[in-house]
Amino acid sequence: MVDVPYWIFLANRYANEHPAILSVSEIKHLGDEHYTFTAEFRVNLPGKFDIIGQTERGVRKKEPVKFIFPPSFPYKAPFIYLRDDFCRNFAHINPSKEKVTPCIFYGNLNELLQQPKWFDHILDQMADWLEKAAGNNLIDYKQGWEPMRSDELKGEIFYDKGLIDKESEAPPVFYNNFPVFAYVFPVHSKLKEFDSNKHSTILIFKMPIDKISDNYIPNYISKFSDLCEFAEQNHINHFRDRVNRVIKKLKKLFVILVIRRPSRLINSSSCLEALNFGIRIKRNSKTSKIKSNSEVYFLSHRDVCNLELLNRFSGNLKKQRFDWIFQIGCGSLGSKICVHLARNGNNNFVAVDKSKFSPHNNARHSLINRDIRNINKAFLLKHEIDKMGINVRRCSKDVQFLDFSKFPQSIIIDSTANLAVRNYLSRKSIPYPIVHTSLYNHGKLAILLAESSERNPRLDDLIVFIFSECLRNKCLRESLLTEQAVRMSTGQGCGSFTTVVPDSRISLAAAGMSAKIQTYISSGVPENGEVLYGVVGDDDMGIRWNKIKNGKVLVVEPKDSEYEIRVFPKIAEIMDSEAKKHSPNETGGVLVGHISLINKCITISDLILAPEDSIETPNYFELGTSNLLNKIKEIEKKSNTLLTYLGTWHSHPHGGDASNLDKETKKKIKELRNYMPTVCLIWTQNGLLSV
Amino acid sequence: MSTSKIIFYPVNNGAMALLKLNDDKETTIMVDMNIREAADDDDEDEYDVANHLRSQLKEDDYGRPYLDAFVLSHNDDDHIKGIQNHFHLGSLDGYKEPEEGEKPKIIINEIWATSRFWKRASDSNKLCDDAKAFNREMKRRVKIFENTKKIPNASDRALIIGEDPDGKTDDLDDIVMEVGSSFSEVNRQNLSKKIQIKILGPLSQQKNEADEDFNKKNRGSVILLIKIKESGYENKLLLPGDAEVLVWECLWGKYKNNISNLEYDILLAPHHCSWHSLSYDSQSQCDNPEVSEDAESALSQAKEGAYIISSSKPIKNNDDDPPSFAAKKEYLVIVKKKHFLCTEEYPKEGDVEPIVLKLTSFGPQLKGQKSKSRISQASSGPVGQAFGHG
Repeated sequence: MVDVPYWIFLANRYANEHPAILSVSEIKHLGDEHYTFTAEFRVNLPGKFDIIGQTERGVRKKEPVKFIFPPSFPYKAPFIYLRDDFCRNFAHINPSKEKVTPCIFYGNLNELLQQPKWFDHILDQMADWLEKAAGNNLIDYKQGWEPMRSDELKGEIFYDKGLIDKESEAPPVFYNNFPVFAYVFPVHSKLKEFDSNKHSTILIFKMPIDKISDNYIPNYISKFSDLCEFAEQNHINHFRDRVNRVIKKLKKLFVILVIRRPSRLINSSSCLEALNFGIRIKRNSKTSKIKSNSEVYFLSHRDVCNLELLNRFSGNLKKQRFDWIFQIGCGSLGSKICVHLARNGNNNFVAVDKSKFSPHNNARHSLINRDIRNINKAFLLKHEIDKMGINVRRCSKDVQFLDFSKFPQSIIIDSTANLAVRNYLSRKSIPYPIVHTSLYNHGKLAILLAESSERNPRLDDLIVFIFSECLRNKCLRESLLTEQAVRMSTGQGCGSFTTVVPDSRISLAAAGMSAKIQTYISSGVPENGEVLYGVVGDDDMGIRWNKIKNGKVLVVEPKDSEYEIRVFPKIAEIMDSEAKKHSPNETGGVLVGHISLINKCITISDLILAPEDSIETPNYFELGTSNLLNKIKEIEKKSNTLLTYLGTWHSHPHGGDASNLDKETKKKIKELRNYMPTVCLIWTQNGLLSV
Repeated sequence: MSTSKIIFYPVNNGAMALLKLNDDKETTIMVDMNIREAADDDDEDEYDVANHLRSQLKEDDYGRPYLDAFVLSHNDDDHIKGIQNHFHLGSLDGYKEPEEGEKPKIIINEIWATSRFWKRASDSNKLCDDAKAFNREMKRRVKIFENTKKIPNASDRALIIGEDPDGKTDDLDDIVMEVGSSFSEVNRQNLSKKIQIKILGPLSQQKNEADEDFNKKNRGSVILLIKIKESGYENKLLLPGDAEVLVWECLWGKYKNNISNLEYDILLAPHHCSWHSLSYDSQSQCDNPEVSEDAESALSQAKEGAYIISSSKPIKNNDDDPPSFAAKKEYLVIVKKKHFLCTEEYPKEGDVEPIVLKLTSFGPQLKGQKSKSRISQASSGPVGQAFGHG
């Protein structure tokens, strides 16, 4: 008497109690800790077969199913076998030459066994499989057509199936340089390269467009005559003649037969099934025709890594809106963002970075490099992304040397954390929208700024939106305006001015940023730009993103100045409302904002309303001084002087340009400010004027 | 879904069948309903048909389950019970989001029914509350068409099966489907590659037929022959409501030279397997009740391997009618024993489940039973964890 393990005993009991099972055999010990029993399943046949007891393909009302349990059961599922003479002309049978092993679950059977219904799950699936076989509906067209099964695989062939799907309908297509790579498994040795495109020729035949084959049969083709017969059955005419015409000296040939199925294939959007064969050519010495008994072997298809595959697996199915993606800054953050975007199947990158990859970069860069030579980061990034079949160019120079006009329809991602680059990219002459990404406070604060397609708001405006928010947001202020960078030693006498931050924290930010940037690439940059900041939680496990309200800025024509004047929309609104509220008197106040000396730009982000001691009459406004200085100091303190006093504004409710008095006042303010850039604005019903 | 299927629900002496097609949109058509309160009550033993029904329906963009079409054979309570509790009636603007613990109501995009919804409740036309609510809903939908002269949107649309004897359908041609005609449009989708629906009844008043008999609710039953195509094979479903012997005799007279109109793969035994669908004679009052040959002929056009379903309580060897033991015996002459199924006996009396027939390319195939969860009591659907991605 065999001492049956508990789990096998329990599985047997489940089978005995299952509603679709008529009888169950005794448990047998097969040796080597393997056990088996056979369950006889009741199969509901379609009505007309129910009377004769079996279907046209021989599925019977009672089907024995053998379960062989490995020692690792229940962590591993049992092997399942149907009777040896069970018809093999069904989809969803695992490849095997000797036994008929049904594929009963679209997933991992071991995992199914770990679910609460345990062995019942497997029995349910088995009953369902038999029932579908009886109704000849094992192929679920919604799930997709199952590709042809071959019980004997001789190798694998690698090519881009997308190329086949896109090809024209005219068969045959003859390729000498079709990008294909094939392996054949030798019987007694390791995987060995058999053919590659350097040595082989490939012929592709497509079924005519008006024909469909809905007959599922497993592969039976082992010689050239079988292949010719199969091709003819599938309306691929003159197949033998065409193949005979290949170069006479050729000893090996690949043939791809493209068969149109009634539904898309499983895990594919195409209804074209590509069946891949290798032929070892033997020719008749007299006729030089390929002999009928030339060996033909079946090769399973493997996709090559390309954009279509990356799109499919990342779920990124929208068309790329921009022809080129500039990744400026290929450091820890930039490389991570760029790799995420590349893995999504975006194409045409330009990696820009002039710096070299140092050993310490391995601490948090997306790439790993042990080469002691200082290799350029843009070069390394290009090299890695290239491997995925993505087009990448690289630039190892300063961004100032880039000629963007050579690249149509681009988006520019700035991840340099470099103020000079940021200022350069804020220039009017840059033709494409910028997306800025940066990290602060040991990577605990992440900033993402996106320009609109017309570049209003522009990068320098978006930065000032952040500065302005700092006046009201203590958390943001403390994270953004606190110095954290330190000189870290990277070798004797060497140092890098950088911050201490773990790789995982950079990844947190980079993941969210790349997700957002992907939406820009797929759907376009936001119409009014976007200002986002993310705060990493104290436990370093997540990041919470916040949006700062922004909008298009108002550009005021300057007078007597080279400085561009840009006014935040909310400030223009406040001036409008104050002017109307105080009408018919004039009113005014102090303008606050940011001055960029390098870009010659004044950005007005805030204002201080007229102090109480101001004088307001229909034709005269005098700015009071009560508590004004304190308010300005407070703003400068909160913004680390990034925001400051810029000048004044006042209203002309009755219209009119700047008066002589206005011009005199501006002159006085300029003198007081030591001739630093100063702005005086006048509100009129028709808009803002510069004095 | 690899094949289309029809589900017959265990609703005692009532009717409720859901047809689910395997077209791109998985179109659903339900014929009759009998969702009793006991079946909604967790403490009762009745099968929870509403729960099963919901599991079969698709949801719209707002998460609301919907039927593409609902067909009412006639407005007896055992064919319409539960419509107020489980279905949304009225304009979709008034759809109420479910309270916590409630289930969302089912939207009916299109209703098909005879013109009898205009007939008021009276002593001779007794209507349950659900039937009255159904009639109001039909009137609302038809009114929208009358006012706009345009086919209304989903959930406001009604089709009237057969012309009204009193002429009320005279100006409603676009929403009236004549008896004897066929159509393939369901919920404004042309499904001619998948389905064809032929309207066999209700038949108009016959010569010498008394008004009193003609006006009975069962007499007005919709009779549909639904053909569902699957890889070259037509699965034919004959769904007759509660039509009785006279109607079957007339149908035989009409189609005996063209029996394809009465051929079926699945027959829902008329009037819950009533004797009166086969005979004028009373079982209890007549010593030798005779089966009408014509009615029997009309109901005998079974294709090879056909099924007959009795949507009724268990059929016992007694004088009950419906279901009638004698009628069952007649049907067992037409199909073999295992192909005659009773909804309250399947798979066994007292522990019933819906009868599911898959409509394959070889005809109907009974869907086998799956195991029930041995651990959890609550689950009648799939159990287990979601499969992670590693």
